[in-house]
Amino acid sequence: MRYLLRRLLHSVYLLAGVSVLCFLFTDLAPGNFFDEMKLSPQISPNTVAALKTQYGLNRPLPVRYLLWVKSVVRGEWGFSFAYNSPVWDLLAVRAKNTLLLTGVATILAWLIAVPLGVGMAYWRGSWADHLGMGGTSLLLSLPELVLALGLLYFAVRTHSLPVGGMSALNGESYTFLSRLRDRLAHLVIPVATLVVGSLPLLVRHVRASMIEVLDAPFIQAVRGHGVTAARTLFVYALPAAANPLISLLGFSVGGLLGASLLVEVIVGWPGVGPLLLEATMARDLYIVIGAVMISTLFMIAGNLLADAALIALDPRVRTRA
Amino acid sequence: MTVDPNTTRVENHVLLRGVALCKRYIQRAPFSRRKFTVDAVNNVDLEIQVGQITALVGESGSGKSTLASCLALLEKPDSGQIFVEEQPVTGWGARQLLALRPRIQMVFQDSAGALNPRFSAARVIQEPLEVQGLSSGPELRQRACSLMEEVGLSPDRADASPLEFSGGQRQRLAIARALALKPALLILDESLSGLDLVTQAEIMNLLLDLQGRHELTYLLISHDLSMIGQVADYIAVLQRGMVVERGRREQVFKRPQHEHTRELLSFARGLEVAFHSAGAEARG
Amino acid sequence: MLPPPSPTQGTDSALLRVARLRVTYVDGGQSYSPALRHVDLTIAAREVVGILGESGCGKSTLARAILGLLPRNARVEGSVQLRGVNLIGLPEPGLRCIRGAKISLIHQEPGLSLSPVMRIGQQIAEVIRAHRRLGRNELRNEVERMLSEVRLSDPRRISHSYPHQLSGGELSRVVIAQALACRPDLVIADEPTRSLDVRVQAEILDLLRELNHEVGTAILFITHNPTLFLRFADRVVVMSDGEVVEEGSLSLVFRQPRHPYTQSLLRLVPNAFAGAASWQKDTELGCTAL
Repeated sequence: MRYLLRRLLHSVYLLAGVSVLCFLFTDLAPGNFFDEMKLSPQISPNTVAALKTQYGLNRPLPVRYLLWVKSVVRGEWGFSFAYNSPVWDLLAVRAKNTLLLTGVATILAWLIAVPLGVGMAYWRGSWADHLGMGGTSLLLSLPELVLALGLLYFAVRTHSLPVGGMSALNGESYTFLSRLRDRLAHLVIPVATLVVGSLPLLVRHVRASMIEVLDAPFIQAVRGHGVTAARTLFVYALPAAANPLISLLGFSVGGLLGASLLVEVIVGWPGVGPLLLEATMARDLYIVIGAVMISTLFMIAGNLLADAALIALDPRVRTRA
Repeated sequence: MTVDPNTTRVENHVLLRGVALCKRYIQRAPFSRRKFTVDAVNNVDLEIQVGQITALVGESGSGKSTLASCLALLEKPDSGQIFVEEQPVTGWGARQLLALRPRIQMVFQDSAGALNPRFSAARVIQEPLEVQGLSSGPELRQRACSLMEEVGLSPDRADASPLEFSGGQRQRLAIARALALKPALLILDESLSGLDLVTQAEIMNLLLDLQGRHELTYLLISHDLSMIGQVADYIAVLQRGMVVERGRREQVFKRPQHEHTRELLSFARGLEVAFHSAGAEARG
Repeated sequence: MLPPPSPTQGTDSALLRVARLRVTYVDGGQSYSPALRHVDLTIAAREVVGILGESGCGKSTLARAILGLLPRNARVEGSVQLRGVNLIGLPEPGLRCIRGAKISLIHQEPGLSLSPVMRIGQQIAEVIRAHRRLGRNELRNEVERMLSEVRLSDPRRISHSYPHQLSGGELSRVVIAQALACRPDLVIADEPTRSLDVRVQAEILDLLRELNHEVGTAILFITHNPTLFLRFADRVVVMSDGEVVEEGSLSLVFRQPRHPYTQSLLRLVPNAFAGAASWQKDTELGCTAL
């Protein structure tokens, strides 16, 4: 318990550190939001300067940081120049969408990876195993970009899947069931991309972990009791192999999050990704920082949950006394 | 036919001495407040004389292995002193201890776990020499092969992995590794347990042989009183972290003082007597 | 209360009959020297038979071969008849019905035979569930009954514990409970006490003997230590280098061993209390460079 609390504290430190780094890096990058305006002849330099002062961009860095922290505490997370609204309002909606996408992709990826990995481990050395290894190697080398574009092409050509967005344009008027179907249809392409992108890593790790456990004496003993192969695999072997996989779960959340930002932009899913991209291009400072912080938060939360799960689920750790 | 390897020894000075050694383990489960304290070693005094075979006897959980680790300078006791050749080593740092390590070497019970499976047999033996910076290059290999021969392994197998050896052969390899640094004291922590009778006999013969040749002192740790009774000069009986009896072999076997010793002895004697009376007649 | 194993049927009175069993391992096209050369062995119902031999003589291979648990690259010849039914070549589903239900295997290192992340009770329940259909409560009662049968006090606590919380002796008893859970006709115990203290070993053997009396399960006990048989076996079978070299009642084999291997093996049993060492420097038992 104390260990988890310590981890929580470390997470806070981590978030603070990330925020500072964010500020530093964005400061290093040349230009700011209002530079675009400078180019326009209709806006006088005085106006630009006045706007900068209004938004506090001419204050020194530490002061700006403190102001931002105060804003976070207030629940605003800074102010967006482009949208003219607190960052949190913009981010919250987007974050929810990203979470939906990442969550579904994680669950689906693991649901597929586990049986595949277990099967490959069980039939180690057979043609199925070799096929699986080859397949994962291939997928590993395939960039998500290519995959996403491929799926989009297919969708456009066959009109089978909607392209872009999260729901149909007049989706408000649908029934609940229809809306659900619609939402699911929109999810297919981005989720498929993310899942296929992360499968190779997961499958290989599941396979490796299972192989190690399958060599253990107690699996032999179980076989000697007349237990069926399927039961041996899933009731005995898999739980014993779970430790490294749970850690991997925490890690894979972070990985999927990173990948999702790119995929969202390509596919047109209204998550944090497109917002971040847009804000970065426009130097909309506080959105950028806010988006990075949200992503970091998700990652830390994922890893922390995995660690807690590890402690809770491994009886050897849990019941030492 | 009693085996008495140290009839030639005249001096009787103490090679390793432990005084009032204590080691305690505290365990606590992550989500509970309960603490579980184990006094693995509780105020133990022990002397190991040069040239003798000292035996530490006790059942599982008696603290034998913990005591062995402390005496081998692998773990620091919570309190008490250790003297190596009358020199106190309490509070010594890792670097100082490094100089002493060649003098005391340990052979474990589980050779498969104690030897790195990715090393070749020769490398296993060479490792301590490399660590201590004592030799290098072809010299190392030569030394490894000659040690292998000495313990009864063929040098042709120098490149094989320890896993390819049988249990008894692996123990020989572990002994060769222990001998690499020319130790004065060899601590054998249940090294013969789990081996079948034939292999036990072979390894024991080897150890007695080596003792004569290299002037070694042994600390033999075991739960098998019958085996101990055949080779030990001096016996200490451990129960729940405390030494409940100590003395020369004849004394402990013929006139045991403590109840636990008597228990262990009567049990072992019972087995032996039953066996030998069952087969007392013509046995080739 | 489960009925004791059914009485022998037909003209074959032996429970298990191993005939001309030969096991060779094959790697690619190459075969190694046989792990079992030619083994004939008969076990009657309710009998306790001990197999004596050193490491590498094929004892464990024999145990695995009987239950079809050898690795894929093992070539098996000969027959193993359980009341007339040949187990060699029996397809997997058939073997699964036999394993645990008619013949059980207890491995060395009981601690390693159990899953470290499952509770003891669950692991025993699994063995029962593999062969019978029982409701949850019945299953739980059955598990606790088995645990008390192997003389474990406080079966409920043990049932809820994990393997790492129990001692070596307790784990041995748990593994025995698993083996007997479905009342098999034969239990093969492959050096089950090897890693235990001598005293605990004796206790476990006493337990097995009592269970043999009470439940009527035949026991095939494999070990390298002759003294263990004394509490225990009706018959002794001595194996060396993949074959049976001697066989007979316990007193016969121990009193008048005929084969030189048996003789030298028995000579190695410690005689510390008589003041003698069983080891002699010139014992010709493979002390050559290996």
